[in-house]
Amino acid sequence: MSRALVPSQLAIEQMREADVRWASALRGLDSYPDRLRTFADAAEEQSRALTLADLANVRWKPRPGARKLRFPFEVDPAGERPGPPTLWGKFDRAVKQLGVALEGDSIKPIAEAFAQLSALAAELANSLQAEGLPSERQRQTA
Amino acid sequence: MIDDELLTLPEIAQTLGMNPSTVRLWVREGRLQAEKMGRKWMVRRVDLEQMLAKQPQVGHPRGAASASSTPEDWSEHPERAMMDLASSAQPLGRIR
Repeated sequence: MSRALVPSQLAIEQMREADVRWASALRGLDSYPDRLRTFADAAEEQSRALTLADLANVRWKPRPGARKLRFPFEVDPAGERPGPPTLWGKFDRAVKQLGVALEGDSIKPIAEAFAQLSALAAELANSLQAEGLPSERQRQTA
Repeated sequence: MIDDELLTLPEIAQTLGMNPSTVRLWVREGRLQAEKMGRKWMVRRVDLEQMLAKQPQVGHPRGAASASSTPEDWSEHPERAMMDLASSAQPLGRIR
């Protein structure tokens, strides 16, 4: 077995920090497109932390049943989501991919799923802004 | 890695991806040994690693508190299934 490049406790510590930011991003999903950007940043941080954990040889304890995971209604298919349906379709598939990865026993696919979610959330935010949905800053200066 | 390597508090915060104020709090509470050199607090890397090894739950209090329970079947907790990921991560050799 190869020696870890990163101390595992440091990697797990970083995961905890990413968890806090992620939870905060999910709690605040009430306005577009800013919150989608916050979501994208937090998902990217999760991806980075998980990649580090993979390098640290951290093991993942599978989460059976995680493929049924639900995101807040603002980004859930049951909710009314502004923006291109095709992009949301990709987003939904990435959510499913995350759920499947969480059921597995490897950290790397989880990191990849978060990276995918991050990229799609950022793309959705860009798309919404291009459609004319103002950001919080634009609303304040209007 | 050199055990005697000295780290500043901002360097530790950056390495761990944490807020520098959290690291300063560890020093203030005596959880992390540090020595003042001139105007800066310095920490030996070996002391940092020892602290992290002794206190696996160390870190952000909200993160530690939320890692308290791990369901067997996450389908009953669909809103929590992608939360508190650190609670499912374990250093190699500790998994059961």
